[in-house]
Amino acid sequence: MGYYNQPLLKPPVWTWEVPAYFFVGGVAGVGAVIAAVGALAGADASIVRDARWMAVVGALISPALLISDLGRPDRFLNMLRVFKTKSPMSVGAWTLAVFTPAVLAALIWDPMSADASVAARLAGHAGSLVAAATGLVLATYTGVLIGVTVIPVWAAHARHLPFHFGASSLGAAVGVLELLGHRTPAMNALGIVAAVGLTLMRAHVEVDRRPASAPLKSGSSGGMTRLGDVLSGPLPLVLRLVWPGEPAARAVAALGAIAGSIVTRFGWIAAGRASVALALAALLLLPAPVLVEGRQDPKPDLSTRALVASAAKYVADYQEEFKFLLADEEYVQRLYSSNGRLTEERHLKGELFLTFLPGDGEWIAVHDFKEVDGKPVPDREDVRALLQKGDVRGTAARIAEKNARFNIGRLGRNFNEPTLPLLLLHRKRVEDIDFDRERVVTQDGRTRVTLRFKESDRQSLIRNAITTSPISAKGLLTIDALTGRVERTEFEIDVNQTNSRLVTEYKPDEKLKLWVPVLFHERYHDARERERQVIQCEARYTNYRRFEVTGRIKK
Amino acid sequence: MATGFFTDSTVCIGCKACEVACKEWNGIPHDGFVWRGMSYDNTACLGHSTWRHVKFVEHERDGAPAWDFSSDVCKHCEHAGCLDACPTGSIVRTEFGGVYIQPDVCNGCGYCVVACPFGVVERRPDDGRAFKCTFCYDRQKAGLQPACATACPTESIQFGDLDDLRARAQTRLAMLRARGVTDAVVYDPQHTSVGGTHAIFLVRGRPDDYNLPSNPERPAVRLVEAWRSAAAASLAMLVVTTLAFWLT
Repeated sequence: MGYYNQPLLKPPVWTWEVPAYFFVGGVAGVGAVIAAVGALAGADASIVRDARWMAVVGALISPALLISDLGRPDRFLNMLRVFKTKSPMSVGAWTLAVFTPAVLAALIWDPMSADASVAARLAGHAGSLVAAATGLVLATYTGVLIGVTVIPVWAAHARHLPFHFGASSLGAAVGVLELLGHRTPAMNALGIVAAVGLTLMRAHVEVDRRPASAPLKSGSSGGMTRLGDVLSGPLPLVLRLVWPGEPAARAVAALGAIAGSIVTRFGWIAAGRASVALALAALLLLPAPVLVEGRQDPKPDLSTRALVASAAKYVADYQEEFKFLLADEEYVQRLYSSNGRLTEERHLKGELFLTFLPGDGEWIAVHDFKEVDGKPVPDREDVRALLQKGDVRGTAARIAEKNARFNIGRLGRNFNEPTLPLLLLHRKRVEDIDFDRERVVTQDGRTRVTLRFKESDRQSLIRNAITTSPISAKGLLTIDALTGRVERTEFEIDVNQTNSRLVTEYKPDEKLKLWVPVLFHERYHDARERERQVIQCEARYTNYRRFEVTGRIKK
Repeated sequence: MATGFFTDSTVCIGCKACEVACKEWNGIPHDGFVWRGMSYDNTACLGHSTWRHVKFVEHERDGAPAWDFSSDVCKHCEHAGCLDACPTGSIVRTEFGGVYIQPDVCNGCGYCVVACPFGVVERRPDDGRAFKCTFCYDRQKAGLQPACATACPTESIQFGDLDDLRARAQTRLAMLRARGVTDAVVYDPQHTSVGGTHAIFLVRGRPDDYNLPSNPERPAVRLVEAWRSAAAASLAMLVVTTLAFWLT
């Protein structure tokens, strides 16, 4: 869909400072509101003072966070170059610029102090009121900021986000004050209101079936927003209603509200990124999920866990079926110098013998090259006869060593086999790999899911040949959602400043009734000083057939 | 005078001379030596260092494979999301109707990136500022055509008065239809919230295949409803805080 599944939109560039500011600024804003209202309502002076301090601390951290997120932090003052009502960011920058001095004024000239001069108290009152008014904006405008964008998940919640962020800020601000010792009934009441709001809003998200809302429910962003909402919604709600007088319960409720408020902001930014990956041109204009007419397939489970399990099962079965296959191979290697100029090219033709050896849990590939750059290989061994004798492993090692002379470029490589990434999906190995759903594409009634994977640093498929230390791989797996069939793998490792990327594409084979690797693309980018080069290889495999081996397999 | 681009993809030969001319004239850095493994087009998309991008669209036409090329560019929207969003006033509308980022003002806040319905603007990581097509503002000021249109060897990229170009696009469309090219369409989103663009396209097949969205949306259409929510949320917070202190 769209242009080769290239996302139509650009993802947000904001780093951790922005969600951190959403939290800090929001809590500071509510702090100023609580201080002002508390002062007018004649609340205890200590809570007013602590709320004001909270606002001051937040007001001082917020600009630092925002400035450090800029691409050009030295130009932060340009934020106050113009005032634009059309730009929520401009409105926000000005709000913060007013809020900070106002809340400082209220702190310096305490409006409740009995022995201060009339002028000082007036200044304090003005500061307190201005801080409260701008504080309300600070606590809610961040929802407007991200809602008024093109990012589908944010845009779809433009109405809901200001309430969400406001309630989240209120809950967290109450939490901070309670942890400072103000476990008053007023704080509990405010905590309950915030928790009720957040619980209802999460419920609303859970029943929201618009495709744009998917990143709030699945993938890592879904996990984060859900965790944030549970921590700041139902958890404090129950604790506050059931044990309002219990200090431990209040403390847990307070901590939950604060943690949830932080996690939720990070979750929403992550959801924005995930949303872009899903937003192909065609998706944007469809308010309802894409429905495919005709045969209704059973609905596949699209959770990452279910997809990985189904792919692992597919690979286990696949390895049983994929035995002793022979294919014609055409292999082109191209070497490029650092300026992108093609400096060497090599064409190889021959046969590929490919099998899975269940005893060893290994894929074995033997390349029997007959032609190099159009000329026959002079000392070609009779690979067929060697294989017929049955020593598959021995033959593979021996031929691989001989074939190494055909490799162009200065890079040693011995892991470049098309089916290697399938080993990642071995039941035991899967445990040590992080999977994340990258995108879901439904076309012609079939749903294909692309999973992004990253191996852990402890366990890896590939090890350094000399030091034997693990080299963790990352990449993408495209699988058929219904069957778990692996249709494309992209496998990437970085070692010694060399980036290696192996892409394998599978297609169905009519004769064998099996999906087989048809295209294998290798790219090695050697970034070492003085050795800069890029090697690109493309292998095409055709005419698959079964190879009959009569002998037994020696170890 | 409002100027524009009319990109007629039916005569584009995919030579990428526009990409090269754009980079040369504007001194844009390279965009990496990346093989995308998706088609012969390794540029992939517009971005901070790609202001012209020739798409290589492989699709099916009448049961046979068809290969179409189309040079993409910033659309220079009539109601531009990036221009609305820019908090520094760095992004302005020029006297030619184009949308221009003043590089000496941009502070790299990144808000325009998420405000562009076409995914055009991007922040350059090593520079920190946002970049996109300038519509060759400097060349236009000097009475020249943009570099891409000058370099195009087949006049696939045509530059001129926007109204003239719109008429030319319709004439060309009628001509193609008369010749039996029934799948040709003009992409000119005048009836969407971006209010029309200064870059219009003639493509064969579905514009979606070229990542030209059928309904590009200006984010500011949600400005009122979002602020209304913020106001309601603020009021609610003020009321509950007051009640909480008063009643307890």
